[in-house]
Amino acid sequence: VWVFAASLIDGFGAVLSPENLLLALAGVTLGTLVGVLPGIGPALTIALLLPLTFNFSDPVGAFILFAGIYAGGMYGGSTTSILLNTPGESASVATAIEGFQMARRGRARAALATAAIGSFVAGTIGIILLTLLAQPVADLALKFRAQDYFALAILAFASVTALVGRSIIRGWASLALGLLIGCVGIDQLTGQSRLTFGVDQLGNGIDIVIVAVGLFAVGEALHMAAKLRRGGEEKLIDPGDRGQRDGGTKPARWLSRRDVRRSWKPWLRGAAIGFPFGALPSGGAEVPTFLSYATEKRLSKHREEFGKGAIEGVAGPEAANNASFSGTLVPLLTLGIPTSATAAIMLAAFQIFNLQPGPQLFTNNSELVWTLIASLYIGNVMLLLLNLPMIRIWVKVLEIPREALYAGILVFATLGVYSLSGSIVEVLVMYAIGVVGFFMRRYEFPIAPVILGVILGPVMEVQFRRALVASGGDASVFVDRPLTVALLSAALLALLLPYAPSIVGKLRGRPRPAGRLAFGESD
Amino acid sequence: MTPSVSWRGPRIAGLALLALGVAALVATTRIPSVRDGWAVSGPRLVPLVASLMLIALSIAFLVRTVVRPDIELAQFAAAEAAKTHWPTPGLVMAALLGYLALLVPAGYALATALFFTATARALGSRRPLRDVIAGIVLGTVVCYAFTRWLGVRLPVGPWGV
Repeated sequence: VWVFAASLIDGFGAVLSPENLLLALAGVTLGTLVGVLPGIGPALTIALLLPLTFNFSDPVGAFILFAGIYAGGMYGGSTTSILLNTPGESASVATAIEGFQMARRGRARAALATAAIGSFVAGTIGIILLTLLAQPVADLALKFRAQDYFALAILAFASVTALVGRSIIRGWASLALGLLIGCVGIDQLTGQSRLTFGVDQLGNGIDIVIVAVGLFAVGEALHMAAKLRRGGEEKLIDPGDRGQRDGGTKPARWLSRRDVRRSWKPWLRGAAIGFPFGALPSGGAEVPTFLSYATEKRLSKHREEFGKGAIEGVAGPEAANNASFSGTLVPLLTLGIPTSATAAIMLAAFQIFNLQPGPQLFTNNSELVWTLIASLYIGNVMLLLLNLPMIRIWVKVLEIPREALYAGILVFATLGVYSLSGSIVEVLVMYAIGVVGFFMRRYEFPIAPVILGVILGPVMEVQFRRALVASGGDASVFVDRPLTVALLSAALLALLLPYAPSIVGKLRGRPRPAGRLAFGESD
Repeated sequence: MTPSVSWRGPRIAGLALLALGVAALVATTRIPSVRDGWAVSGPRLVPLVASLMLIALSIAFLVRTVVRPDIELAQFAAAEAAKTHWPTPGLVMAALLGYLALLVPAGYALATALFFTATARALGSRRPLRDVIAGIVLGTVVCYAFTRWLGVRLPVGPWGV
């Protein structure tokens, strides 16, 4: 216990340097900004910033920045949901249901406050749980061999079912696409050129940054742009409006004592629901936020208010989405398995710095892990201070014209890839991937599995072939060790889990109940 | 009223994926392999598995547009199509290609200013003056910041910006 307390204190020591504090502040500010803006979110933002991280000498700073963006995105999304009824992120769809109704009835300030404070409370609980889980996982690291890393990659692929949205077919097709992109270039073990289609510039492979920027930035910008002219008018509720005031003169209080009494249990329940769902491959923050909403509706003493602006319906889901963010970091840092699109992009950042996410990270780069965890505590406090007092500024952000916003995203996407390589061909490849991303969004092909395939495909391949070569071609190497077998069984379980209801139904001789459990982006 | 459905888009997407899978399979057979050939530990295994996977899945995807059709997908596609103004993404893509073509001959700042103005216009902006000013500011500030502070080389064009 003392070792771990000392590590955490060291982490705080490192994060309290002016440079890291500034990066944390920049991260949470930027994150809130993109969270507030509908249509763009933390995944797109981190993808755009990936090329810049090549200029960071120290990965710690980059991860402090990214974690801040991720957490800030979760906070910012609630603002748009409540004031505009347009959720900035999928994670804040549930918040919009009651939040916008509260705002329409003159309770915007109370809705914003319960969201912000709930996020803070749940975020802190989530980070504490992450802190407690970190050390035990680190102890596992020393036991890993090549075949275990292969099995771990397989487990990550199996957990792709978490990222697939509504259709397994489309999810796995996305993964296959990612695996193929990952194969392009020179084979690491034999030096053969693969799938380059005669283009010399593809010899070095397609960098993950090109794929991430293309799919998340250009693809998203094209997708939003295509629908821009057919978009309806949006009506924003200003929390400083006359209608939002008590008795006409003073702005209404943020939270009354009654609001707090009705909010604190949903905050805690939201945290309890959000964290495990973030940590398990269940598709990010969407499932837990809706689960929290349903729970609060069932438990509330004011059920008649639901649909008309019940504060519990804002407090619970907002707490759940922030706790799920900390939960997401558990499999990401400990196993290198992303359970949300943003986490998949952060995995790409690890690759840029040649860090092997997974158990080794905690032994080889424990300073990075603890500084990152410490920065989460600091960022959470910053977010609370940034959010409520500065709400008028965040509202102003919504006035940025969309045309300029999307044009700007495309400028930065081009700049990022060009500044990396100085090559027009690579920018062209990035645009082409962007067009693919555009069509994937139109037909609901999930994006995150592509990223996963590009990153983990080569890792899996090299470890698989290494393990085989080391064993002289004997495939039993994959079932010899308990750890490998455990990981592969977990992968099998992750594959079968979505079908559990219908399998159980069949075993009991009943007709198919509800088909597979649906997780993910579109649910 | 039942929501409308659209199968054309998903079918074209499925065919495109199938074509991609076949192309990758053909390319896999062309991977030179001196001795390993099709050995399990050779360079062909993963692209082979991945391209077969893509082919099988895109066929499955196409089948689901006919047999046991995935109505939700068709409804989603129809809703997307209804909201889409096709010339916009086309113009934006054209602007992106023009941007790339101009980048080296015209220099980063000018190309960016032109691209920004043109794209904002294509996206429906009605304030050209504001866009031009924003474009020029964006181009020059980014160019300056990146070359000065980050040491990134950007094309300077004939006038040095």
